Amino acid sequence: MSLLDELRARLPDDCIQADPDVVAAYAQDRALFERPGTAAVLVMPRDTADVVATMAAARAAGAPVVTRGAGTGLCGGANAVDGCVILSMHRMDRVLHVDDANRTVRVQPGVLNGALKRAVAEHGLFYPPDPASYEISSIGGNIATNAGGLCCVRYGVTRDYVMGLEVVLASGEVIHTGRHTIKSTAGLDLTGVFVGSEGILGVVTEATLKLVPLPPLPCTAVAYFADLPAAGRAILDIFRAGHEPSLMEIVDRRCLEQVNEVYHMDLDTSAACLLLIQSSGDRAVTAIEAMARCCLDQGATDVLHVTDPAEGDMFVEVRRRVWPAFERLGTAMLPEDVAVPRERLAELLAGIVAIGDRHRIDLPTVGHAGDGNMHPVLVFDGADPDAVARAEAAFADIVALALSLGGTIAAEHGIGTLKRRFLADEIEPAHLAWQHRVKATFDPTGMLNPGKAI
Amino acid sequence: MNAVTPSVVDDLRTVLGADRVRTGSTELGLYRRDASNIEGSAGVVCFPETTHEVREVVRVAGRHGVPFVARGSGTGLAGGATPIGGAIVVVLTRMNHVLSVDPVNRLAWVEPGVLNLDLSRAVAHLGLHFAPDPSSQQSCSIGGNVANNSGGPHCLADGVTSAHVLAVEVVLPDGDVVVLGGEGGEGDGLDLRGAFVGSEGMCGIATRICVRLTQNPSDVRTMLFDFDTVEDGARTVSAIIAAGMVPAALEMMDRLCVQAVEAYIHAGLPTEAAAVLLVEVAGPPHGVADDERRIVEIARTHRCRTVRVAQDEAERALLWKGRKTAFGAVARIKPNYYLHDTVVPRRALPAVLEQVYEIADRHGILVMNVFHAGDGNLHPLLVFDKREPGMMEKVHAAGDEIVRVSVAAGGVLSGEHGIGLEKRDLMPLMFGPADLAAQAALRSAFDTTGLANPTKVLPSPAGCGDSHHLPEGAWI
Ligand SMILES: Cc1cc2nc3c(=O)[nH]c(=O)nc-3n(C[C@H](O)[C@H](O)[C@H](O)COP(=O)(O)OP(=O)(O)OC[C@H]3O[C@@H](n4cnc5c(N)ncnc54)[C@H](O)[C@@H]3O)c2cc1C
Ligand SMILES: Cc1cc2nc3c(=O)[nH]c(=O)nc-3n(C[C@H](O)[C@H](O)[C@H](O)COP(=O)(O)OP(=O)(O)OC[C@H]3O[C@@H](n4cnc5c(N)ncnc54)[C@H](O)[C@@H]3O)c2cc1C
Repeated sequence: MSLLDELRARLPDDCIQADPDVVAAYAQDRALFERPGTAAVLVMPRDTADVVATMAAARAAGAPVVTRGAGTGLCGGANAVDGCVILSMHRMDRVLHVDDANRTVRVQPGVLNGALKRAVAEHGLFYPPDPASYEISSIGGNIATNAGGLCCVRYGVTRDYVMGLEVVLASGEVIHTGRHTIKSTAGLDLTGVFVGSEGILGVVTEATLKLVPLPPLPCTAVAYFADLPAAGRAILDIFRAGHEPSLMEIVDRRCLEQVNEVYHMDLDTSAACLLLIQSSGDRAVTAIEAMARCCLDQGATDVLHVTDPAEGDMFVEVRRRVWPAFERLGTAMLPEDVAVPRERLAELLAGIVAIGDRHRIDLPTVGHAGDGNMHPVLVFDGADPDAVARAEAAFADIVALALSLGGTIAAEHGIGTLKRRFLADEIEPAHLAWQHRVKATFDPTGMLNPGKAI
Repeated sequence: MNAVTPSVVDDLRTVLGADRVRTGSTELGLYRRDASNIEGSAGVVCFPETTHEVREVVRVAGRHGVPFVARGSGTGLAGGATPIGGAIVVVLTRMNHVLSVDPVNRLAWVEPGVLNLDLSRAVAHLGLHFAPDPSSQQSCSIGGNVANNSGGPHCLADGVTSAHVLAVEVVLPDGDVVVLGGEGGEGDGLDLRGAFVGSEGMCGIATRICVRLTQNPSDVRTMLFDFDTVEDGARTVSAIIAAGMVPAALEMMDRLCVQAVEAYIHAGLPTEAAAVLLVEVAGPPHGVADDERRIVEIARTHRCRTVRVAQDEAERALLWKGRKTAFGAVARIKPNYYLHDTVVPRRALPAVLEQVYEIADRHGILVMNVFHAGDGNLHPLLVFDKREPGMMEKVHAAGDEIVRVSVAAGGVLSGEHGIGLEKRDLMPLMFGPADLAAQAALRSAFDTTGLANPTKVLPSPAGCGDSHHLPEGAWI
């Protein structure tokens, strides 16, 4: 039987969509350079049983399966491969149970991060991981890419909040990993293997996540620096002094210019960068003062700190508007995702500026300064082959730069297809071969998201 | 699987030299068990000092098809480091160097044999410590902590070992060396660091570990409350958490335990109370004072009898000593004890404790409870004299029931001691056949040889049961 017949034999019609235009709309994520293959069909499961049925149909027809959350991925992880089933989890979007005594929540994978945050806030609880895409990305996608975000410096990444999973394997078996109690050392921990595995080991159909009490509103400090090394020193000082900022973001000059241009925010565009810091908790007021002092001591040209949360949020808004401000240029944008140890941050930023100059490309950078995770954004004319070539060259140089500084090349957006060719630079060959062995253990025929991640 | 032959010993001696490969009856006797009641038998004991040597030892094992068991300090309570069927015991205590400390990024690279408390001491001058603090921290190794994903009183706020391991260098059972994770936390590709943590020596041997270091809190307040009923104590715990606080530690002891401890350390503990709650809050001075006030208030509304706040570091140390020496104190009551380790959802604590007392009562065994109340991690301690006829049977029957009621209440088999041999055959209580098959598959992706600490954790599939007899002392 054909793939479509196999699916129809097992699933109701409203779960299957074969119209090529509709299918194509679900066939790619937001990675710019990555061309998706042509998917055969879109399946929209309602529950775990539908996912199991899809696996059975795909196995029978020998078709690959590509799982899709909300398609906001930036590295082609959810892009179709030729002849595949796109398994879109968007209908499985329920918050199943909030347990306030144990501070956990059970969810389906299609629920959007923002919707989950609001649902648990009603119980006075907070789900910290917050990729900048939190209003539009799904928990399943966040888990599969181990997404990070602005809160990570204080709260950690998605991995730190995944307690247990229900996963459908390629074989169609449904397994449960992990735990629902706060602690457990029972058995081998499969949960961690699935987090960050980009849909190549199985389909997450349910997750139990850890929650924390809703944090008090933060105090905010902003500091302008005339040169990048000074900002780097201030960041180190803050951590050396033992502060634990709940947010620490850096916005470089090029970003300040563009945000100012579009939103007229009266920013100091002569500065090399702007550092945004927040602190929440009992000691927030004194902590934010002390951190502002660190910035001044290291030569910040202008430092301001505020206790009013609304005022503080206005400054964080500068950070959030970077992406939309560049989108106004109407050109192609490719966000990079690299991380280096904190003490190499200034070198990384300076190196990125040099790479932009060398390749004559617009290269603004924003990032999570607290954990050394930077997002340089390549902004260029996607219709001009020469500009595209220069962008690709700059992209490769940034990767090489991060590695040479002892960093990593995929801090939170994942590997997907985009960075696959760079992977061997970082992981020794024996390790890579062994990763393939793990993949083969769970998916012997290689039907799940083939060609991705490893 | 083969037994250790003279040629295995010769090959090991070629790698390590004669004095680091032991076959004397004293050594074999010493290394045939960990701190559990389960005894195995060691074929040979060896003491590698470098990653390269561990790798060569593993290769010798592979060439001869002999199983091998990694061993840290042997303080494990589930038989994880107990060698079965004459395995090669690979002792890692000589790999005990702190290799580097990075105070800026708050991390350290250590060898697996570094003792838990030694690491915290080594970084104390930087105002840092290694957060997981099992009660055995003076003697257990970081390698063992990683392999068992160990916890401790302060893991309530800071998380268990897995939250503090950034990277692990592992000698895989086929002799390949890989680094899982990275200093930045996330490695690329599949992140198998989490799978290795808690793998009880079945996925290879950790030879270098990159751990996260935690800032020492600027202020600490330690409080002791006592109650007329265990229930009031348990409800106080839930109320503290529900109020949105995350104390650094929340520990409970019941009457029998307090009496034993008091007789041992004379700390002025309230021996007539039904339950004693030890609460510690840590953080900036202002926040700590505020938390203290709120916690005292909560305890009072739950009818706490007295409130004692440690006035200085000495008193604080004394209160903690009471908690951490509880197991030693027990020896004064009866010669033997059997320590259990289950976790139940916090709200089920009072009901499960009630059942634990009932079970012990019915079997005529003394039970003491001293446990991590904040995360629902129970440690019922069965106290007995094994010379009494029929006693071991009663102890095992009661233990089995305790585990079952915990799991039935939505809990898990082990909070921090691991599964090892002890609870291996209870795994089906928690995991279905597909779940266990997936764990076995993961294990075989790490260990293609099947020689790394075989017969532990994963129950043998039906039918092969005969070849995997549990040794003497296992209680299931
Ligand atoms: C404007 C913008 C800002 C962003 N900011 C950040 C940021 O700050 N931090 C960050 O980390 N990322 C960021 N991202 C990237 C992206 O949003 C994240 O990677 C997100 O986690 C992807 O979620 P998704 O639901 O869109 O997943 P998709 O893109 O649909 O899928 C991502 C991967 O997950 C797999 N997958 C999805 N669902 C499942 C499932 N249920 N089971 C198994 N596998 C599954 C897919 O196969 C694919 O490999 C940003 C993206 C945009 C567009
Ligand atoms: C009095 C007492 C109190 C205790 N309190 C606690 C407590 O509060 N919390 C808690 O969690 N535990 C506690 N324990 C249990 C025990 O101390 C911990 O499990 C500890 O982490 C074991 O460390 P170890 O070095 O002794 O390991 P071992 O017992 O030697 O080994 C434990 C397991 O780890 C494996 N292993 C050891 N080293 C390596 C390595 N380098 N690579 C791969 N595998 C390895 C072994 O094969 C075995 O499976 C206590 C034990 C005692 C005796």
